[in-house]
Amino acid sequence: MGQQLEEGDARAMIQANFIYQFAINSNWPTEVKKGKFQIVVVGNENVFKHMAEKYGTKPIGAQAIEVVNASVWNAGQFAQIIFVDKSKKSELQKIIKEGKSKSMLVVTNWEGALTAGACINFKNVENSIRYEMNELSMSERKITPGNKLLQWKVQ
Amino acid sequence: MESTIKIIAISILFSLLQVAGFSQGNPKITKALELSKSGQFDQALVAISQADLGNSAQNFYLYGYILKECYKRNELGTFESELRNKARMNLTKSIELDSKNEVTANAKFAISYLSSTWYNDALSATIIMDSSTVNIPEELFKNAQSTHQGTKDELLNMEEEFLSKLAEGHYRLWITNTENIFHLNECVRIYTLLVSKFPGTCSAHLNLAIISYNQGIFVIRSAGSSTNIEDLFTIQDRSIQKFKEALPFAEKSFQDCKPQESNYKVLLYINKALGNEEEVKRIQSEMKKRFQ
Repeated sequence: MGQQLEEGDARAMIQANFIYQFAINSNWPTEVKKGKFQIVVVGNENVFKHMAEKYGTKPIGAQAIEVVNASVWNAGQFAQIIFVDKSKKSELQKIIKEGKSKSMLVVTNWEGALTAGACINFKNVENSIRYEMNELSMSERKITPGNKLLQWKVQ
Repeated sequence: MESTIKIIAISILFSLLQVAGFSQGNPKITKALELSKSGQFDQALVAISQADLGNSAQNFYLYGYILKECYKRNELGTFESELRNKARMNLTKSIELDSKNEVTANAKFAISYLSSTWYNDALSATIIMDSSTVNIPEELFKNAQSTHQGTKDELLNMEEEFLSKLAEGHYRLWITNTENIFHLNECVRIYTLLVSKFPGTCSAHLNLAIISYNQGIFVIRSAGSSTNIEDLFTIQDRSIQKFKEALPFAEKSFQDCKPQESNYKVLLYINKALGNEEEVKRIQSEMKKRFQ
């Protein structure tokens, strides 16, 4: 074979790019706009890697991003954004339960996650990654999505 | 092996020339012949360059032969070699003049050697070419083609190998600067030519798949913190388009040859990139069966 395959995980890269967009296009309550802007990636090392590599040193407002890779969600933990991969579906319920009072934006990537309480869910629409939103869930967490996020969501 | 052939060729050459009595009455040619016999080709070249060759096939052959030997000793590996060009010219002329068929076989043998050097140079040129020397490999290969003395099948095999190497050369130049699509277009053009001309070329379809897939990945990588969400959608659409272009090439690569692990891997990555989860599972399971 003459050419080398670029082995990057395209879906993971795109999802990481969107997670960054969710971070810069949403507004969190003042009490969590201090310290690090934590993004925890549960169950998808490729999303974590791309996120850390591409956005790990970028700020969200005055907060520096910190990207954390996790295989499970640890109770009591806080993060502005938690991405739960479909390989860790079972983690969602405890995150939802704990996250409501904590202004944590829960992002997922499987069918039905939104009705289970996730705030934003990635969907596959004709091979492209799109996202659907649960605005009620976001509002309960006192997170306000920006107009651009609302414009581009799918129903 | 090559030296044995050479000794035989020289022996035949000199015996033929002596039988033909070509040098009688021409002391410069006699001198050139004597110097050639003792392996002093540079001096032989000086002598014969000053001689009148007339219309003698033998004289032209001797001149061509000496030029070829001088090229071999002094300019082998030089892409633009005057000695090689002149050797070809004189050897070809000797064939034209050879009504008695005395030197033609040997002249063809010598031209065949020159052809192989043009071919080797063409392949080397694909490896070292840069943006300013992109035409050189094809020019060298044209010379190899026009002087080829073997069978048509051999020539086709050479062309297939050359085009593959040329495409690889353009690919190498493209990945050093993916913004410049000249080399990408050349690479795709050559691989497309390969698959149309040599449908059984195992690697061409696979390489076309890899190129399109990699383009898709490079497009995604171009997104960053300064990209806004609208642009991110555009970027994604462009990358998906490239993955879609890659898919049929990857599928065709299975038709051409016995599938290797690399064929499966490329097909797997493309389907992953397109979010075709069922297909990904199928390919993974087939890979497990075949390669584990």
